[in-house]
Amino acid sequence: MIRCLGLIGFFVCCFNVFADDDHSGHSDDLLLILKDKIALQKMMDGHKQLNREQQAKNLEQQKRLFSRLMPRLQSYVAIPENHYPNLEMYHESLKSRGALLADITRLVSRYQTLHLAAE
Amino acid sequence: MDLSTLNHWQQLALCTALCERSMPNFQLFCEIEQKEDDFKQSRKILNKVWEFLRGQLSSLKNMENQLETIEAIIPNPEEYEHFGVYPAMDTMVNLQSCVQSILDSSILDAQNIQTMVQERLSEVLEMQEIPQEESELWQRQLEFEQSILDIICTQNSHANMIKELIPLSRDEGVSQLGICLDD
Repeated sequence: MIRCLGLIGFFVCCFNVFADDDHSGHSDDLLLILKDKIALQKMMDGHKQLNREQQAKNLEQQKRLFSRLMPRLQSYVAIPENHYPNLEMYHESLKSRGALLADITRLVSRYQTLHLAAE
Repeated sequence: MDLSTLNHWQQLALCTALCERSMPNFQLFCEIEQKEDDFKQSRKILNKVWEFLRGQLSSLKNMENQLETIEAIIPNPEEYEHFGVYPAMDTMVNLQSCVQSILDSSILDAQNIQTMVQERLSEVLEMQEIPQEESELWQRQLEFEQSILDIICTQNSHANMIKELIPLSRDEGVSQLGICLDD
């Protein structure tokens, strides 16, 4: 059976481990990209229901999110094979990269459509 | 398995099962940070997602509000100095993706969520200097994912599949990182 309590201790110990470290694993990049992607989808889904002024604000927020998301995506898709412990994980990551790129391309295209309609 | 071949319900079911299994990570974070209400709210929302998968959710109206609720409880890593915030955030972003996927069937995040969960576990093992191939947690995660796929790819009713998925995903209260708070 897995030693749950030991791992809780491990987690709690990490309070101090990361207190002074700049923790930025590639799993965090994926997490933050997903978070921004979800936020963008939500903004785009709600765009239609807004009045003109709110739509402009919404587009501005989308633009800010994209400017945060894109460099992170660029860094995530550039993670080399030797950062992964084995080929299987690298393979999974490549599948994820493909899925993310497809999703974000769709979002960029949707953003462009909304932006053009607002002009 | 190529997760992109799964349909919307199957992908959502996989993400929900992964979310359920990682709930003890968020629970631990909430206990440490004394955010018990956040945990209760997230638990309620996850139950709603299971209801949807069972075909028992009467209205989707409330789900939009649930998105706002999750957004408010997703921890911001910049505000905490311990590693636990990341697995906690993973769990909530997964939950957020599940809710949004209910509202928008074009959202299919199974591949990304699965990779995120595996990468986090791999990172934890690396921190503990445990090789993946020697890790019981890693083996257990792979078996868990396979069991979920076996269930959701059967020709069974949604209700029956969910009946099997929930206890499997709760895994006696042990998360994929080995966290267990129920004892």
